[in-house]
Amino acid sequence: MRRLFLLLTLLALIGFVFQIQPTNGQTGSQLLQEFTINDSNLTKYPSVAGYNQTVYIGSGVSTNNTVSITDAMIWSMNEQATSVGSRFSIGVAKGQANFASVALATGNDGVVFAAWSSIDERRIWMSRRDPITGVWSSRREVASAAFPIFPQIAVSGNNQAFIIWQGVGTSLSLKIWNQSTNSFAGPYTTTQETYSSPPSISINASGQVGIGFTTKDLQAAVAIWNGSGFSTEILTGTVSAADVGVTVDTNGKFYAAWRSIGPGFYYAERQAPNSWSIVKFANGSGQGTANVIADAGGTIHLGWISDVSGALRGYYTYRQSGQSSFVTAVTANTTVLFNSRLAVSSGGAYAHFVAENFSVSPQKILYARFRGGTPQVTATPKIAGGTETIKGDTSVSVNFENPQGSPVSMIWRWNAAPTEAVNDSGGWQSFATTKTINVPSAVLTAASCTNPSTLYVQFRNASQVTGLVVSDSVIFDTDVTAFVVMTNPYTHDRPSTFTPLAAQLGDFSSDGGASDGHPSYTREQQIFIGMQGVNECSGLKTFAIGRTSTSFGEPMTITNNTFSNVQPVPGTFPVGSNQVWIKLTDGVGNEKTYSTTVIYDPNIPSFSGGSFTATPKPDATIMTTLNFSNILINDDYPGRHFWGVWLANSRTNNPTNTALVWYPIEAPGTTNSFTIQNWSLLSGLKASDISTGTYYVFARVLDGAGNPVPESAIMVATVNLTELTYPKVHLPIVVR
Amino acid sequence: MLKQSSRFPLMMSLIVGVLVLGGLGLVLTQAPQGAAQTPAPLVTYPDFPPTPTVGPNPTAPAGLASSNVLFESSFADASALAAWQFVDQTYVLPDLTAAWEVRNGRLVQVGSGAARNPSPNEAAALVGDATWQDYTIRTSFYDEYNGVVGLIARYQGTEPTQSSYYRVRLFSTEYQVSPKVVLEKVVDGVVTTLAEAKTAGFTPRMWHTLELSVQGTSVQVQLDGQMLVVAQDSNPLPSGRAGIFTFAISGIFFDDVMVSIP
Repeated sequence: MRRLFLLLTLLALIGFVFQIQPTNGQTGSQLLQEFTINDSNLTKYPSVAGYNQTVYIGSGVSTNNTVSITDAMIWSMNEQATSVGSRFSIGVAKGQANFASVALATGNDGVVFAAWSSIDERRIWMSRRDPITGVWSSRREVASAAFPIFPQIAVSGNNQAFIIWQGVGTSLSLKIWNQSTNSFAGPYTTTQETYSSPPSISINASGQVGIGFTTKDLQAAVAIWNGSGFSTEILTGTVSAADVGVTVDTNGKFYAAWRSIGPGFYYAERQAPNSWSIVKFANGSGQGTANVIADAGGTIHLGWISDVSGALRGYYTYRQSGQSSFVTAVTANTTVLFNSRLAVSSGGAYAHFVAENFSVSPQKILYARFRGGTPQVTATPKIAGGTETIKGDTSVSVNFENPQGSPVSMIWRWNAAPTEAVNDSGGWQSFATTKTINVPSAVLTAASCTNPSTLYVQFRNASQVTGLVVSDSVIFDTDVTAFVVMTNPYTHDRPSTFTPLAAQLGDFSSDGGASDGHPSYTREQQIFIGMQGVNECSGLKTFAIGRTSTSFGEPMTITNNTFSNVQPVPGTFPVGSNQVWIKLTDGVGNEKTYSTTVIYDPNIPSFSGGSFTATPKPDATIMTTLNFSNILINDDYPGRHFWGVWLANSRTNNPTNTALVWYPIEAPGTTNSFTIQNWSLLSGLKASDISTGTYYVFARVLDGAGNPVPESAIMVATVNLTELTYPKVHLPIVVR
Repeated sequence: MLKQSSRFPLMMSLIVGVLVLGGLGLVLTQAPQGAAQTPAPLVTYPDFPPTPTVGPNPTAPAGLASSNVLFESSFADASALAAWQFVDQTYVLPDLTAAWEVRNGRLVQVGSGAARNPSPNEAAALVGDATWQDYTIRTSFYDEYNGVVGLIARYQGTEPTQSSYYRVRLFSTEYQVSPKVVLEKVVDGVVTTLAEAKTAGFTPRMWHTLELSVQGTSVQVQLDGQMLVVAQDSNPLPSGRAGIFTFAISGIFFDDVMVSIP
């Protein structure tokens, strides 16, 4: 019993497991845009064609709101536009719009052909838009016939235009315009008479041509061009059909779609001559052509109009190559549509649907855009793996991530979209997921931290379908840009904020010298280094100190783009002039060296003579003028052999008191006698020391490195103040 | 305890049995379709609100029904078409003439030609004879998506584009046009507007009754018993056939057409 229970349970599970539907990986379509073209009054049988990212729409349109005065009109727009520009007339199409329809087709190089009927003239006309100049040619007669209507057109890879049309009670006709000879071949005709319903025509890259049409007795037929005539295959039998769409894929396989006169839409794939597999692809009663397109990627696109919702709506679906089912149809919102046509752009990434919109009066063109089944030919560029700032080298590695639509070639340009005429890639290059791309010097020259450089790239698949321009930006950091100071570690020029770097600080406190001096001198084997990145895109990263331009010590890290501290120099300073080098690197690896000359002077100067006096200012007795006379020093410091003096105040005459606070002051002038103005007798004194009485000013001569003369050579000046007066600051009167 | 233990296998067997039958049933119904089965269409449509059901025809007003009837038809079957002449009021190709059918007891405009393609051509169905003078033509109509309905009176001529008649055209609320009601006089194919009304138009997907009355110099139009427009024609067309009018784009049907005199 237990085994039976398990067996039955297993069977039940199998039964339910079989209910799980396979997923097919197709994400479904979506209505992306929909609008009615306002200047398309009295349209009939509008057409649509796509080339790369451009969509062309054509129709015979009344120019005065009557049915009898019509022009062949063209609209164009980007495949993602939210509106269409104004129409453009490519020629007169005299007669009512029913019989003055315009057909469009595009060629591989962007050429656009239009063919239209002008029924009052009993003519089929043609015009060609040059892909370079964008100019439409003047109209050219294709055919003259008793009642030529419903022209359709396809363009081969070598820009041959296959133009078909129908008549009344006649067979379907074809003429072929050859671009190289600028002449027509044909007409060629089918053996079957046609029903007055627009045919369709398709051509693949190999030049295989299929024509879908409705026979006089309402059969769906496909006429296959064999180079000199037609082989017509009837796809239906006892059931009446009409409005045949046809397409031929890159492998030469033909597809057709049509509507039954009763309900239902049918789809057929040609397996062999006169052998088609036929299936019903949709319910509902339809109006107008059942459009079918096989794009270069093998995706099958279907577009049709059905009343299945209770109103005549346009529908679109697709089936990607290798998939077994079509995605759920999507629909435009506008109802009461007739006579649709479908085109794709970007290799099938977008499907463009046009139809007669009869919800407005007079009827106008309804345009709807759907997300197509074929991925765009694209990839996502990532310069240097997506790094924001990189070194400004002459080439850069670019990754192209998530390629879609099977790109095989690519073209690029810096700071502008590439064209085949203007690019930085030297034309189309083979696609690779990682590419080393040259950076022109002009790009590097123009680069700055606030001016990123942008690489624009386009991709193309094997069928020459070109994707949208995509881009990535990067900041090229082309150089180390910094403000650098290398100076006497005791100079007062050094910044007050020191970078904490205690382990690498030199002995700085107890050498007995002054805390100032000439910037180019030092009495220690150390140097003050200050550096600050200025417009440095990637920031200062490290520095190293050396004695030559090629040999440096271990690099030290710079944080926050700033360094300021005293550093020992590598090796040993001989007394005298020494060259010191610094090598700076930034965040992306740019290097730059800086150098300075430092005079190492550890020797104290000797004093030979001289004196000074201190004279209080009359209006501020604590401020004095120090007059130094005939100061004679023996030192290597050039000129008068001293740099300045070390001054200290005291209330007692004890110049060797270690509590004295000494202030280094550069001696003005160039001679041995000089004057220091506004020396405050209170400098360095405690508050308790400030009173009337005698003040002692001590002076000790300093050389450029801050070495003072011996204590025995300290000079002294005495000031006796009976009154303490202070400097006054006079502020301006505020006038309210 | 003994009762419970003996019931358990029985209950489980029943449950499992139901599961097995259900599973096998679903497997069989979802198996690849055989030749005898009609395969489902390849494409699934998105969901839509259900299409409104066409309800019963409006009942004709008692007064009108008891009047002196010149003609009436409820389109019981296809033989009803025999009383009508169908004309295209603009030039059309021979295989694209407007197509009319009797379907489900109604006169249906089904597009043009054998393929039933839509056509913006003006299509009319005429009845009666050239001697009819003062009368009212009334019809019930139900518009799905055509958007245009009309009536014709005192129609004279053989060439549709050069004939003379009175015609009223009404547009549906969904049809973006103004005015929505136009009463016209057509003389030898030349149209003159007698009156027009910028109403909201008729509501599609519901039954309406439309009447066109010609009495001497007076021309009147009523929709659902409400007067729409009235015109006086000092030089009236003398007499002629009555008719109904629409565009040959299908999506509209008519019923209970009656021509009566006061």
